[in-house]
Amino acid sequence: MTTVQKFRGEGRHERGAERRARAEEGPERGEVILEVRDLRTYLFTKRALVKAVDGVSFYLRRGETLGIVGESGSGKSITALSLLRMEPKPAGRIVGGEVLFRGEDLLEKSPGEMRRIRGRRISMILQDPQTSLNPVFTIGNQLREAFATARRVERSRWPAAVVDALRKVNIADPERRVSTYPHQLSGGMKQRVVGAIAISGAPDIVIADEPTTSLDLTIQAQYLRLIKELQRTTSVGIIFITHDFGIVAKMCDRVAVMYAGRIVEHGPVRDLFNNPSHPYTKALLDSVPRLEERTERLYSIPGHPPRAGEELVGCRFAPRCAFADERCRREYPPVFAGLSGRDEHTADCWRLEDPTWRPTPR
Amino acid sequence: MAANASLTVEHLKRYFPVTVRRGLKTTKAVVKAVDDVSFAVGTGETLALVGESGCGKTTTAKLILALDRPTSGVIRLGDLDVQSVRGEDYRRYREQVQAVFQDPWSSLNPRMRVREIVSEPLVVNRRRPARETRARVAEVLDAVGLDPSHGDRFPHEFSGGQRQRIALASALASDPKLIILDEPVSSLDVSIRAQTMNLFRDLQGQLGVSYLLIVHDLAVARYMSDQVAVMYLGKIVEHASTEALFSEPLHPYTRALFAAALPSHPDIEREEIVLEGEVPSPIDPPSGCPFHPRCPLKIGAICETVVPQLLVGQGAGHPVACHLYPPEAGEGDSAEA
Repeated sequence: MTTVQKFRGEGRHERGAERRARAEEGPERGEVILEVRDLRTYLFTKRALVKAVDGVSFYLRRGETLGIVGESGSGKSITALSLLRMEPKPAGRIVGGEVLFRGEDLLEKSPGEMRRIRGRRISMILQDPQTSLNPVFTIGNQLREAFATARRVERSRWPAAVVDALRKVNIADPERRVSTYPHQLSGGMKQRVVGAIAISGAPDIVIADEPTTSLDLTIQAQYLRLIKELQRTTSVGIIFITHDFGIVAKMCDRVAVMYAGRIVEHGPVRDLFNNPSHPYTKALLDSVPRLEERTERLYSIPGHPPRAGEELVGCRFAPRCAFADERCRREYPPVFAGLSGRDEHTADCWRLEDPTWRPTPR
Repeated sequence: MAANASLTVEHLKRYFPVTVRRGLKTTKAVVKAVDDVSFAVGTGETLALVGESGCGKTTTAKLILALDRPTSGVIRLGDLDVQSVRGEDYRRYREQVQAVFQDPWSSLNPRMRVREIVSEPLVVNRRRPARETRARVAEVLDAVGLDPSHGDRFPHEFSGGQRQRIALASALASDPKLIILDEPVSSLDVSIRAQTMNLFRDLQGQLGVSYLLIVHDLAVARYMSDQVAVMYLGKIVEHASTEALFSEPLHPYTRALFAAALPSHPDIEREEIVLEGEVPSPIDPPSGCPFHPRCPLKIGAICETVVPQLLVGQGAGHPVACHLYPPEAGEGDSAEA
């Protein structure tokens, strides 16, 4: 931890959205195209009220990649779905917050207006390409449908556009592939077709929810490289939902760490790896084995994440945290900004009242 | 290593006959899922089999578990040879090889209580006094960090990490020599993985059980294993101690796997090797070296015509099947680790 640490006292007790909004005025790396403020999505199930997303705020700039990391049940996927108003129905309901896409609140759009945004302005790549593609239509057919929805290309040019789209995602022999069915393609190729569909409407944002978990290692490397290439040529903003810090390290500019429905730490990717400030982030980084060096013993986080529907008071991580005290268990901490000397680097932890404090293994 | 070997596998082959239909013409073909694989796992040691889907690592595991019969080759566990065991010896063999699978949601029977699941390997193989079985179940549940009172519950009452502990308790119940761990942590959450891996290692230290770890994550292989064998299209292409392999991967495929692995820090730059294409179909494998169509370091015609043997060649510190490391003059036999 060699970074000079600066603590900005005036940023201490702001609410997340205001603080993160202020951080936008920082380095100019492209306009902010998406801003999420205090998003709350609850699941109303028979057994319990699950606060799956409980006050999440972040933003995305054009051409940038934001990683949202979390374990299962952290709310990362529900967050992604909520952005497109696709929260699981009927249990899921967005109960508060704003999703500002180029200044307009998506939560106030009508279903018809949302349909025109999905796939055209914001599109999605899901985990399993097998279930994303329709098994009874050829991939050419499914790409043509995407162009029909996007309405960016004239009908007469669709056949050429389809071949072009397949070529862009490095599918060999695209003229022949348009007439194949999904089952004739390998997992890696299917996911590339899904990618081609996702960018067919030239969207501003692509949300990728664990797009490579079903792929083999070398195929994953090909796919990640393809995403980077496409981003360079189209300056699309990407939100990467993942549980894997390796993906974050390789792909993302900024990262938000989620735990039990909240973003507990957020910042530029290097700051987060060099200067993890929330005990959860630190513990996660310490519990991942490394390829590059021999690890004597991994840190293992005691306990397990809170179960769905568990009553949550105070800091969600407190029961598993080595640094928690009475107040942590009672009261949720405010957002502390200015970690690593940058407004953008924030964490929600009471210990950060002491600006020099950092979680270190005992 | 071979002296105190718990498991020895020699020239193991498993070929599946298949019929290929092209239009009206059908032809018979053979898929060489496992093609002349040899390795040994010492007592209290872990061997990691690393490779992508379709490389034959799961078929190898099935053969060792006696769930499938090899086409040819030898699998020996202690004094038992899986090809020839019958009757009482077969039961002993089954008790001594156990497995923990990837997905503890589908590997535990939802209608059985934890106590029944854990005692299964004890009761299916021989009759025992109920009291003895009960005591053993309590013992292994305790060993994996679960409360013996949990025995009366059903699997759905547990989280993923706890379920994997139940699966491990069940595997340990019959006091096996070898446990096959088939992707044991890849379905678990990040914060649970470390707990589970540490538990596997601790129990190995205490009990001296051997593990055959089937895994695609190289970092997990490094943390858990003593030796690593890299498989590609049914063959071992490189085999070394974990330290040797991670300090100097030799085979172009191994190096491509390393290059493809995700970094643990954004500043880590890896060697740029992006493989073209995908793993070829095992029905119609490439001639010569099975890796040559994707190999970025192909040296010429020899790669397309001659199958490289797994041996310690020139410039190599451990066995690798690649023409870049040709055998020393006068040496032609394949060398085993």
